[in-house]
Amino acid sequence: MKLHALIIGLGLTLAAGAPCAASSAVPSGAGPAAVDDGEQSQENTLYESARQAIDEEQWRRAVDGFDRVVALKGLKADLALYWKAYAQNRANQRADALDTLASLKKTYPKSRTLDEARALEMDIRSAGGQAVAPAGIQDEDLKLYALQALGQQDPAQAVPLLEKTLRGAGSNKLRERALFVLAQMSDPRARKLLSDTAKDDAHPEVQSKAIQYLGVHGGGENRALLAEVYQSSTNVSVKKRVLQAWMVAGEKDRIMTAATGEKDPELRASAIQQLGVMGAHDELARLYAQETVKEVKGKILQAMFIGGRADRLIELARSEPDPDLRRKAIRNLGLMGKEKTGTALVEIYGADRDPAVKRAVIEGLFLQSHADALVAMVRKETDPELKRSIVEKLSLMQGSKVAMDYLMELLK
Amino acid sequence: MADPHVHEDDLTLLYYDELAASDARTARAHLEGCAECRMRQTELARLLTMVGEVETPEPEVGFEAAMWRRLQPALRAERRPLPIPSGAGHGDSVLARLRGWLTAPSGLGGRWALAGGVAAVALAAFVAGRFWPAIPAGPDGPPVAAADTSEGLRERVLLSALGDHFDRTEAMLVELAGTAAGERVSIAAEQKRAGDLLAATRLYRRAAMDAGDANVAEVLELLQRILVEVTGSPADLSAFELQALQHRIETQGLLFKLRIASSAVRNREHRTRPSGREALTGA
Repeated sequence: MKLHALIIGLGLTLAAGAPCAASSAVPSGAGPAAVDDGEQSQENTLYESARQAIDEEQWRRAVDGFDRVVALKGLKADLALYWKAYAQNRANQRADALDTLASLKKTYPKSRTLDEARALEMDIRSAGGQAVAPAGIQDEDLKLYALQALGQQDPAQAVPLLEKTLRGAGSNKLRERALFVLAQMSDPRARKLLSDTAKDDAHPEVQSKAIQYLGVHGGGENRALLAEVYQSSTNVSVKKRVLQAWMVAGEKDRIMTAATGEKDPELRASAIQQLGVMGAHDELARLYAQETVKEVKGKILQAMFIGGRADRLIELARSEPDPDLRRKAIRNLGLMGKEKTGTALVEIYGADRDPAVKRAVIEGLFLQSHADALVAMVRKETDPELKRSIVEKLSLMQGSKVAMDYLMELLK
Repeated sequence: MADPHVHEDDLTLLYYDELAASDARTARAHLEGCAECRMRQTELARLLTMVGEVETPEPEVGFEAAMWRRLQPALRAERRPLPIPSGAGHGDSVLARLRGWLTAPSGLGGRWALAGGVAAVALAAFVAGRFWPAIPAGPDGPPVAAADTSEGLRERVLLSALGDHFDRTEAMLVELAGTAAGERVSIAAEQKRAGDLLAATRLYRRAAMDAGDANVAEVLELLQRILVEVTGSPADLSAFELQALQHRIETQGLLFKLRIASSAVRNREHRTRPSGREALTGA
């Protein structure tokens, strides 16, 4: 089996014309070209070599390499200490890794890598069975990291700490990360806090994230809560997020209600789009039939395309009386792939008398790289304008032998 | 007239039993009466079996990283039009184009080209969900919610968070990879974003590890490494340092992996949605 792996690796190298597995610091001609002066140059070169060993998961080589960088005591000594500990941990030298991290903290107390170093230390200690108490951690992100592990085991301790972060003065990004930890917990206290956050409009970004997770949770109670938020909120972004959460939760009826009854055109369009994502084909067909506003009809066509239902679009491309909408349907058919819609497009080209619609078909077939169909059509076409339009498209299809053969035939 | 044969992508999904039931029935009915498609199916099954064979054993240390590293330039080349042997496939599916590798007259020995092709098929399989195990579709192929357990809930929450996270990380790395080298270049803005992304990556990786989702955890670890590098570097980089960072993004194929991972987790997220079923909470 290893032989297979070797063959594949070697085969890819050869097939791609890529250099053989590099073990030097920077492959010649492929890596950084600029060089700094003196010691920094030496530090950079040694650092890159050791860092490459990390990418190649050559842990011992990495440890040795970073030792040399650390010894230089240059600008990258702190980062080198972090990577040395990282490599030691991966090489199962956990005690050594902890020593290295201690050295990093002591020697470079202002290093930018300290947060990551502390997270690594937490990983190493928890892998060794040592419990980490999140309450004692000052850094909010590290606290969340510890809570991620604690949340499943001890929600009674974790939820109040998460609530503190959510209500605290941290950034919205931090609150969103706290919500992620919270949302994974199935404890009733965690669910309550998530629901409260979804209703709290003090931070719309955070509220939206809570709404997203409620949709992921699903369930009748959460769907009812989402309806409550939709009714009470005046923020269009938040309402859009509710529509999206309903989509994830499979709440077709509520989205359909918004698509038909919502007064805000942006929200109505968003609801229609969600129906497309859900593949609510019958609902979209019903909406299209009863809709009178052309712009909204266009949105429904777009949603039908998103839903991937070619037959409805083909039907409308043939029967819709409005030529603009017919063209829109054809454009969407062109984006669906020739296997699904190529034949129908060719038939529409033959049947429709509107030159603009015919041009939309040409465009659609071009998007499908359907050279066979375009060549067949151009051979039959008698309108010089349309003929030129097809030839123009064929001339752009340089990867197609069929197109190129036809163009050569024309030139002869 | 539309191509009546079974598309290569569908044959792949059929092989992994991931084709929607109705499509699978249609495909199988066609295969019964079409010798050409049966031949293609056999050939594909042979290739995919080889993928399975190479995937199962314990790989050499660093093999996966090496494979990705080598696959990326190959795929970049694959984006250019490749000669497809006549009758090699239907349509321009990834598999059909990759199949070109098997017989492309590139001057390479056949087995090397075959090996490249097999690994490329492995990528297609990866995308199809082979290496990102998903909840199987129901009898008629609609999404099926992850089991209504705390594990199912945690999986859904993680997947829901990851799609956007991968996109945001990709955007930051694209910006960094595209920064023009000067004598000194400030990456302070990227560092600020990388700091937030790093904190989130750390959490998500922990969650993936707790959930036993090794594939997701692995991608997140790769991201964590580059984000540590970005946040730990000086705010003003020398030309060497910037290029080294860009070189790392390039050789690790991080942008490519992120795109694949983003697509894969969205696919999984879609298939594990509650979709109207009464889920764990609030039922």
